[in-house]
Amino acid sequence: MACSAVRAPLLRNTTVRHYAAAAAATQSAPAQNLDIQVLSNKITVATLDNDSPVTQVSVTFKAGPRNETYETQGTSHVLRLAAGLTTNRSSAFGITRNIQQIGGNLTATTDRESIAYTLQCTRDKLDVGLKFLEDVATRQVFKPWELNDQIPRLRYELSSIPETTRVLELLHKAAYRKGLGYSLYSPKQRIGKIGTENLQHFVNTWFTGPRCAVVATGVSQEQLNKFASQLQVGSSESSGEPARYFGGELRKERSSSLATVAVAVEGAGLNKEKEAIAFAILQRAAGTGPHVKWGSTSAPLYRTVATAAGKDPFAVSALNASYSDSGIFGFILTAPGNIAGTLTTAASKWLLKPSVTDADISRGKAELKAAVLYATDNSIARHESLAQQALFKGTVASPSAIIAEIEKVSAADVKNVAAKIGKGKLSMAGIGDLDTVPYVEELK
Amino acid sequence: MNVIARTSNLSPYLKATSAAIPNGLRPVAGSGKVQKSKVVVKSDVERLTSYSLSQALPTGQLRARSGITGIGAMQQIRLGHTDIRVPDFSAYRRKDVQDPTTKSRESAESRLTFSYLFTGAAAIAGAYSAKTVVTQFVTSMAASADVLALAKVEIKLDDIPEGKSMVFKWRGKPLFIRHRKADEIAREQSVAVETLRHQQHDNDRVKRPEWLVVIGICTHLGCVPIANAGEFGGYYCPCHGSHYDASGRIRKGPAPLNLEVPPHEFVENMVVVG
Ligand code: FES
Repeated sequence: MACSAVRAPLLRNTTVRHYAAAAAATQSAPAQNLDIQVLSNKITVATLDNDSPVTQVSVTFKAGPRNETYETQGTSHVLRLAAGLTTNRSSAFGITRNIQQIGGNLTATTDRESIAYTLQCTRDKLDVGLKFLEDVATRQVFKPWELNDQIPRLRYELSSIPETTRVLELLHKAAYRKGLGYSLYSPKQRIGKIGTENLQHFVNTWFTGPRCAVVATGVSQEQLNKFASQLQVGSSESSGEPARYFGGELRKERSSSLATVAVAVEGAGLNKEKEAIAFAILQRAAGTGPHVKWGSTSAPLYRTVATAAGKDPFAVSALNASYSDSGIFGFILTAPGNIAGTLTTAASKWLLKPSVTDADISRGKAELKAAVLYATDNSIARHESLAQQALFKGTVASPSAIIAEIEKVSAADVKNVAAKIGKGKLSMAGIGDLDTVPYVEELK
Repeated sequence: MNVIARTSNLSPYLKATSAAIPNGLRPVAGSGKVQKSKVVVKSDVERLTSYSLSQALPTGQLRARSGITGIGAMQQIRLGHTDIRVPDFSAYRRKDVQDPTTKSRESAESRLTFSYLFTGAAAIAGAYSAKTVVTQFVTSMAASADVLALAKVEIKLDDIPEGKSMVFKWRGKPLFIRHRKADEIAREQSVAVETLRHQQHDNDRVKRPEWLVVIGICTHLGCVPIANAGEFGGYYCPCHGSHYDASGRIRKGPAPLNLEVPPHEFVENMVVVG
């Protein structure tokens, strides 16, 4: 009996190669139609119609902590948490349930100058998703009892901000004092003080057509235009105050074994594009920390600090943040309290007289280009970058165009901006165990 | 010295005093700051190496992101098992409702009519068959035909001469039929009931006074009494000496009851027992 089973053709060795011999299917590169236009309600609409199965749509506004005043600090934090609360068309439950039913994500992202409401869902469910995106982004009503319910969440968020993030908030506060200086996170004393009227006023003032961009990846331009043209936004052309850099120092002592210190001078805003790119190259040239576990880098800032640190653990990175009309450039470092002072002194000595070789600059350029291209691989990062471009520049550039821009910046340009740093006014922020950390006057 | 060094109205704030023993003097003024309960958060990883420290460093603009949590729920949990086949019940479902796009209400009437009729018919058929089965089982417990055939006996009275008691067999028991004489009848009729052990009047025991029909089993322990014997001229049980009279009533001896009168009927000159 067994013999007949053995004779069955199934158990014989295959003598023919099947799929192994098939030629690999040629992959057609997805169509990439990058398109941007301004609609009659002054909303900028940008689309990248690649064949992505997941669609991302963002409604972004130029409104953030920068647009707050001393009395309204924390508004944008509460505004971010209030995304998804009841609107004048659908309830909080309705929004949550419907977005979950279509398997989508709806998030609110704030930075200092903008807020983005982003929907991610599959293409076929986009109609449902867009309805709720519109609700969340433009039809807020901020019911007071719902805002109250968010307070524990707000408290929790405030309690869980890491020191490295806090130090940047302090650095901005020291550098700009107001406007860009206001924190992404609500100050503790403002908890519960931001009510419906504050939020509604903020929304009415800043959530307007000219300050709005609707950006999407994986949607056709027509579909998005239809969506954007019926958004109910104001039309007033309010513009915020221009950023003004002051410089200064803020320290916060906390019970922590580490000290985190950030030191910066004024850099360049996105309005001075060439300089901004030069600063970005300089940042990579100076070093943004090791890329390999247990590894080190040959970047000058890193080397300077490593020499001072000896065998103690530390981390240092050049810091570069560019906003629409200003920016900061410097470094951030974290180390055990007993050596943080030495490291800060060493790093700021380098910062005030940055020495970068041509080799450093070409490495920095290569790193920056790689970062830009890697970000293209990540659809979320790509989408975010498009949104920022559309909102602040009114144009969208393909990655290759950005690479070309980077190529145009010469080593001399980078050295020029590096030379200017020494003349800038220092801002400094420290948090944690600040025993040895010097004050800003001592850094000169 | 103190007065010069410190502005007097500020001094309560510039030193911190806590009175070990309350002395009634003005205590240190509070600053109005209330100690709030601490929010408990997940503690961060303890970073001890250069690499882990550098992973925590932001290098540019900060962004804060939050999702919609209007109702507190962050996400649904959907477990996408691929190894579980969803059972297909379409073989069991009505044709009218298999198409998810049609309204079920439109076909409801016909579906309900069918359901009710079908259930009704099934219920009736079920009830009938249940009845049949039950009857079958119950009747199986009843007496069989041969037993029933012996259940009744007909006896011609003409064969029994006056003053004689004859014995017949009825349902396996001896049956006495006695043709009573007139004096016997008169005697039994006149017995005072209250003097009897088992008080029954003669009229209650006979349907025609000249005929006594009793079962010939002594009510004491079941012997068959002898006719026309004993002190009372009726029956006498030789076993333990019970005396019955001509009406079959116990008059003397150990038996507690009168002889039993079976159901019987007179049809012309015949008696039917049973
Ligand atoms: S059986 Fe008849 S007297 Fe005992």
